[in-house]
Amino acid sequence: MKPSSSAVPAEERGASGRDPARSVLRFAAGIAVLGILLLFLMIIAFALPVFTEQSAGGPFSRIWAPGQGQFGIQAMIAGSLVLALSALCIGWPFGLVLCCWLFCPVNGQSGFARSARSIVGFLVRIMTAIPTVVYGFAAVFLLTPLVRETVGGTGFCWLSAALMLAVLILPTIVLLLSAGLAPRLERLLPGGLALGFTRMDLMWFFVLPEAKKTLFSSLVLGFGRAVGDTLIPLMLAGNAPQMPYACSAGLRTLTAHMAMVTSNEVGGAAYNSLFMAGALLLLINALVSLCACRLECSSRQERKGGRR
Amino acid sequence: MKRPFSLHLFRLAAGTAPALLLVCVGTLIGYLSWRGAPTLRLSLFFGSTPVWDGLTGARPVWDGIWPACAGTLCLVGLTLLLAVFPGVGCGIYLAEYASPAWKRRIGGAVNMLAGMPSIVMGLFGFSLILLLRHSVAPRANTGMLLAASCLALLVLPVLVATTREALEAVPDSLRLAASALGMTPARRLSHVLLPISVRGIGGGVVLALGRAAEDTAVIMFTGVVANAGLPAGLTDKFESLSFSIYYTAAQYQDQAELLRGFGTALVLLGISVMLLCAARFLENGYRRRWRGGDA
Amino acid sequence: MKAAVEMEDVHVAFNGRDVVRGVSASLPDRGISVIIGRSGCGKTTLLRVLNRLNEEFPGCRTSGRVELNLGAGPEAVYPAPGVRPRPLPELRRLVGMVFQSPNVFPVSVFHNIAIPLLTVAECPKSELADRVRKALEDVGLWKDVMERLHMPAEHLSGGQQQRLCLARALALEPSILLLDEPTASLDVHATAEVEELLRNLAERYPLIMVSHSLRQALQMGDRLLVMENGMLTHRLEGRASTTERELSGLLGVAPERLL
Repeated sequence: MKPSSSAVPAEERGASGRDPARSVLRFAAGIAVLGILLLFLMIIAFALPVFTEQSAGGPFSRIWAPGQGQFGIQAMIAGSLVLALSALCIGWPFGLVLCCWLFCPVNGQSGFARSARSIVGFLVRIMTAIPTVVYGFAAVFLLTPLVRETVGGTGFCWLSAALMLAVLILPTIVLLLSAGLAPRLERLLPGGLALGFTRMDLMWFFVLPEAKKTLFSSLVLGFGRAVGDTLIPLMLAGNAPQMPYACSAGLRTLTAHMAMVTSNEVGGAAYNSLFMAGALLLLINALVSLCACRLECSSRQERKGGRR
Repeated sequence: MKRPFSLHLFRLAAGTAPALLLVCVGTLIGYLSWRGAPTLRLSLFFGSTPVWDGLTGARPVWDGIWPACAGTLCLVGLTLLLAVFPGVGCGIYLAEYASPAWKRRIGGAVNMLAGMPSIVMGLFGFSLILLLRHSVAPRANTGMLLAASCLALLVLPVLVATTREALEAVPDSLRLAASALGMTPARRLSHVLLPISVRGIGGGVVLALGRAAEDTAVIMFTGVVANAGLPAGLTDKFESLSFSIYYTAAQYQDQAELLRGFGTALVLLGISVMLLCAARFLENGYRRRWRGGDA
Repeated sequence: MKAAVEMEDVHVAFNGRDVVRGVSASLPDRGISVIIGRSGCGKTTLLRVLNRLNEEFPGCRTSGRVELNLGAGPEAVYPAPGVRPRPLPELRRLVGMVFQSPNVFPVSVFHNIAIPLLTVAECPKSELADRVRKALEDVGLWKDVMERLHMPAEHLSGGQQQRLCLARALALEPSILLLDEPTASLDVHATAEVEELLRNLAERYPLIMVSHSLRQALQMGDRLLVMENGMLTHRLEGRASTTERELSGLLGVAPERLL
């Protein structure tokens, strides 16, 4: 049981009766919550009129051509989803095998294997700190020429952005997976090794099949991270406002669209699409958070139940 | 032992993945260093302006990144100033005072904020300005203070989560011992719990610093520009390292400017990695303290 | 002899589950009273009734009458109609408590005693050094640590840490000392040290101790209170009038299988 001070009625607590720290901290928490509420309210309030008033060239339509009064963002919605999913398709399996490799030294713990693991583990942590704009900058000069030569086109395309996004979400996925998988593996370790399994066997036969919730929540949170990133799509995806159709063609995501609208347009219907896109991102990520929270809660309960 | 083919495949993949990662990230960092390292001289920061004049703003720096550095520095400082009280305070409140129901509600809201893309925070700041323009202050414009407020919102979850974790890592036996000695909850907090968790909280603050320094999407909406000189005031436009990297990639005119971009990227990378290492150092030292001590 | 503790029909429940059910007892104000019983019988909870520490845990309800003599005659500890008990911090200052595992604060030896003195007892800064020294002398730790007052308390040995915890409680000048299995986490040598110290302290304070060892209970206790299932089932007066075998018979366990 965890001691909590809330069990003691307030008036009996101190000689002075009131606890000044409590009110100060409650004030701080109040500011934080107020900020969060304000964020949600503002964006929803600005987006709501756009949702309700439907017109021909409005944000729900298909084509983005501000010169002709067409302000549809369907292509951007599709672009965001497609790009995030493709990045996930590359990044998630990569993250999974990397995480398994980190926790499953194959034959014993030779000095080289151990140092290789600690180097890669350290590198993954470092990757969480690399600014996305730096990723984007390096990829503009490194990756895009490569992509241009392999698949043709300009190099600023779906494929480049997906590859870079996969790298971006990799540490998120590895860290989430290792937090979920490592303790399960630890529990199996002495007994499982004594039976003649290797760590990788244990991971494959016992841990992974039982850890569906961890796998799924890393998938969901990785998606959230990929769909929310701005700089990599903005710098690498070409930003053509068209439905994504080939991996060598450009696409435009919601985030990149927002960044472009603020820098290029002033007011009017273009701004409507801005708030629309913002509200959609808010919604997507709120769903992702809720989903992840559900998964975490239920897997925690499962673990608790299993231990008893 | 007989193992299925799929497992062999999986093991093969697991063997190549780290090599692939090392190659990818190694190439990336290596390339940046190779192009950027030669530019790392004083002239990268100050161009042709004398150092002292550039540093103090006596003369404008045209072809150096010092104004962007100063902008990032001011921005991050202001962000921390705004975020530390609500962030750390909310973390302490959640760890020590909140009832389970409020813990769930506030914790859920903070979690949700943690998952928000930074561009949404930027849009929030932008819409705040639009609101002000249409209501009380028609001349309101984006600027440093607005950017810092939005960044504060961005780093808030980091601060709340690390503070909460640091306090919850303190063994319950110490809480009980402090209460049994007759300390009020406030004194228990200020004399026992906070002093011993200060390293963990410090780690969180440094981590938040890194998040604020690297972000680009928020400030794109809230007043960053490519040429503003040294930051002048709370409501003025400003420059930042991250934005100048983006701007260089999109609009560079000549080779010198491009090389400056590489230098800037390397500087920002260095700052971010150093901040991360500092945060890890603080937190690790803190965690080691409780390993074995918590009987 | 005056009573240090009077309890009448004390019930404690956590989230509706009864842990202590109807305990009444009167304990005199000198000597060692030892509470024994199988694990989970509610002895620690009963001990924590006296300094209201149970209230630190959620879902706790305490009922019944508890009076302590804290230097000014018997006084009620729990609020009741027409009764305003002392504020909690003051009560806990006057009822010292030492726990099962030594829980020194992760600060220096000196600050372990000085922080509670400054904050709880509001001791003036000028007296601080003297009172820290006196507390450490009381537990026989002064000679060991006088040179190293500012080293981290975690560097002390287990027995020394436990004595530091005692010193920390004694520095606040309590009227009663509660001990919750004070030697449970110590080795044989350190146990002997702490037991010796407790015997000396028993001449100045009423000591109420929960013990995990029959040997210790028999050797140290001036009276034994046997608990079972939340209730006080036996009370044995006088040292060494019972044998370990009789006692384990009362508890319904073989002596070697103890708790």
